[in-house]
Amino acid sequence: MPRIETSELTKRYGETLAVDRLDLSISEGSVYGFLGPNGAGKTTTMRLLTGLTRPTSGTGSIAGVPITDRDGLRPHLGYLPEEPPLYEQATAYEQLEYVAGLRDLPERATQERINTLLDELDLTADATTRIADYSKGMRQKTAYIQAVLHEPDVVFLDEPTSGLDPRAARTIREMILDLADSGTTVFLSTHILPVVEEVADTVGILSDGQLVAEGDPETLTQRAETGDTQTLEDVFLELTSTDPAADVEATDG
Amino acid sequence: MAELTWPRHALSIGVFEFRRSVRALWQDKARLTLMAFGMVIPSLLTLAVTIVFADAIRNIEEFAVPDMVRGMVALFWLFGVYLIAQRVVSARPRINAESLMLTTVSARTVAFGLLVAEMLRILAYAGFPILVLTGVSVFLLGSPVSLILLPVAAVLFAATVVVAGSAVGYAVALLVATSPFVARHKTILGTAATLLAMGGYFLFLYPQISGLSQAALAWVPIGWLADLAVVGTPFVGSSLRAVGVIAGSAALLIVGGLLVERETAVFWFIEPVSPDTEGSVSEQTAEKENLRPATRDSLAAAVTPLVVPRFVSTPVQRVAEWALMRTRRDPNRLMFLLIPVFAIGSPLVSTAVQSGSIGALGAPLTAVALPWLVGSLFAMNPLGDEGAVLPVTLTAVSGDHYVRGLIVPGLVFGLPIILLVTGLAGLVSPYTIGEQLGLVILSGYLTVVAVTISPAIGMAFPRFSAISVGQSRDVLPPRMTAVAVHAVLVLLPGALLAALLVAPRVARTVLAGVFGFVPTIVLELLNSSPDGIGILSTAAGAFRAVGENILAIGLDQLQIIGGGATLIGGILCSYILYQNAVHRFNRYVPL
Repeated sequence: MPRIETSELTKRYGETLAVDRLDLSISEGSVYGFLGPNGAGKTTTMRLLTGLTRPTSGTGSIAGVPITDRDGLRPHLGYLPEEPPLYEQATAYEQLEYVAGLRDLPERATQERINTLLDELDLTADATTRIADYSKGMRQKTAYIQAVLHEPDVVFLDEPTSGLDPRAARTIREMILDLADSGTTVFLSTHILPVVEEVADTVGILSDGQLVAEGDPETLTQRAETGDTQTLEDVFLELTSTDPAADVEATDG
Repeated sequence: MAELTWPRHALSIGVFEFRRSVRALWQDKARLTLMAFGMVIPSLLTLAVTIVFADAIRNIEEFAVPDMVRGMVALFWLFGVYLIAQRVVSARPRINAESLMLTTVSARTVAFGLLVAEMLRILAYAGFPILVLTGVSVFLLGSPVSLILLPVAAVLFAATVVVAGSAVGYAVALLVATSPFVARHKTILGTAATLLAMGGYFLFLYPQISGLSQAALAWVPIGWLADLAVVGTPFVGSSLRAVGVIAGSAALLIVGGLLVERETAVFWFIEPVSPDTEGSVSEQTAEKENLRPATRDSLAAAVTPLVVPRFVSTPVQRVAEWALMRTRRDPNRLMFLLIPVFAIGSPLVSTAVQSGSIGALGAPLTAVALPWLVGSLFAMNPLGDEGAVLPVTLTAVSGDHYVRGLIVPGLVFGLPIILLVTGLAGLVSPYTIGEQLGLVILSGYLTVVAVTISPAIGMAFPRFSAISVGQSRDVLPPRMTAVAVHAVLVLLPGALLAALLVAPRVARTVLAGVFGFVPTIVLELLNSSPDGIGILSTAAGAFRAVGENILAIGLDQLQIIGGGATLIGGILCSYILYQNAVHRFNRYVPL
């Protein structure tokens, strides 16, 4: 059974369609790269899939739980929004223990997991420093740990490598792959296309609320009729261009 | 359905949020000091009074709790509900780290967690006074049962205030989030609601104004908490009411709690309507840039019906419109103005009402306080208000234009209102036509000074980071220091000028006291020399002479020389601070 599944999922704000009849089927242990220009509807899609907003029509489920069942969803998902949801007055340790407590995670095992994750992300030395004094990268890492702490079935990551130095970004990429290897489905939204090319099994491109392309990165970058290889960036630019000439070119291609 | 362990998690959220509040408060020493004073001084006064009158208190004979006391409790409760509702609507309708919390626990858990946190804040604030009262009741009134019942009454008071206030607050927040009309006019509607609530409160607080006594509110069942609090003491309440208020409070907590849960479950998961487009969606969630109507003069449209006059240059007009829009869209930043209003205004009005001199005080108070208020509205933190846009602003507009832009709203929109209100206040005052006219002119003069000096003060004491937890991260009020400096520079000379105009004898006495007799008394108290010889004694003599000399000045002389010097000082101060603001802006280097 797919871990993330949507059918005709639609979100309308007044007269405007933010998400237009989205059909997704994402399997267990895969990394789904979710691309789209600014304002394409990516964040709305993530908010729909995490139960933070209700669809106008259509259905969706996470690990078999309907996305309208917020209480049922919570144990199955982890969410790292673009703006890390952290408390400035807490230390990383306090923040992580607090969230673990709210999720009723077993204390001893959680302590070990927190320590391991802090260690892997090179945060141990700063774990007792207030988050107000953290750099953007340190906040991002803390929020990442928070999102995966309870080993959810599905993790939604919105620009997880944003603001990270190359070493930390690589660590996150490796951890995403490890997550997928352990069976977690990763829904990854980012503008950093090389990250998607490196870690995603499947890529979906959203434009004006519609899924305009979907497939594995290799297929997407392969020009069908000529056999030429494009970069994912070329494909992205063609498919999401608002220039009619480019649209024609993309369709022809 | 919420998770089974939601009460435990709600408690955990409440405690965590409370701890964050304490930490944030600890970092803001000015607020901490203010709150500590507000908490400790009344308690110490109560303690002092009880120590002084300990014997009298011990010998109090039994008497029935008057309706006035029940009404007073009900009045404070209603006022508390208003304050909490106002806090929910303006500052904290959503929890911080919302996406985290709502994907971690149920909305019910978050909602009850916030209620617990708010209750803990109130109890922390009221803890010391409650302790003092309990001590008095147990030890002086000989009522051991007060050890339990008085804190219970306090907890019930706090809990019901928080739950009822939150239920009202979330209902209003929901209305703002769903009705484009309410969203667009929330500042004006909020101001009207505030005036209505404060007006109602003062009507009952000061029966001299309206003839309405607090006793008229004795029928409100929550006032029966007084009957619960006095059980065991010589004050005899109604046992039936004491039991009834416990049951009633429990019912209110259950119904109010359910209401809060329902409201938040809707409010936190809907997209708020945009105040700028009828029936449209919020900026954050729409994600569609083309949703916004691309009118050429959208900034001017955003501040309608106010119109910045076209005779000012375009940069000045834009800065003025921006300042207006910021004030209108983010009125939370201006909550700081309520602190001095309550701290100074409340005792002043109270004294005036009780002495029957409200008419005489109203006009001078209006002439002095309103200019200060308008001067504080637009430019008390101009650099901080710019936020991330500051570097762009610094490179886009000249200091001269920027500072003028900050001054324009106060002059164009504040000045006419102040002149009108002061004129009306003068009409109902006992002053002569000449004095009334003088007060109107004074209010105009003070408005010009207040709005001209505020940019420099705001730039000298900028605040770049949001304060306090529990408030929206977007709330960026000015520094208390800036508010205090501005208030001192406007209110003190303003009060002196008003007094010189309508009560010169009082002004002369106050001046003699401040500059002569008060220092004399202090120095004489400090002087340890038994024979009255020494530096302190000499200085005291000099101050006494100053006081006597001031008292010897003729009233006409004082009005002309003292008033003239203060007026000229104000003009000079305005000019210097205007130039200083321009200079600061032009030379400002963002960190």
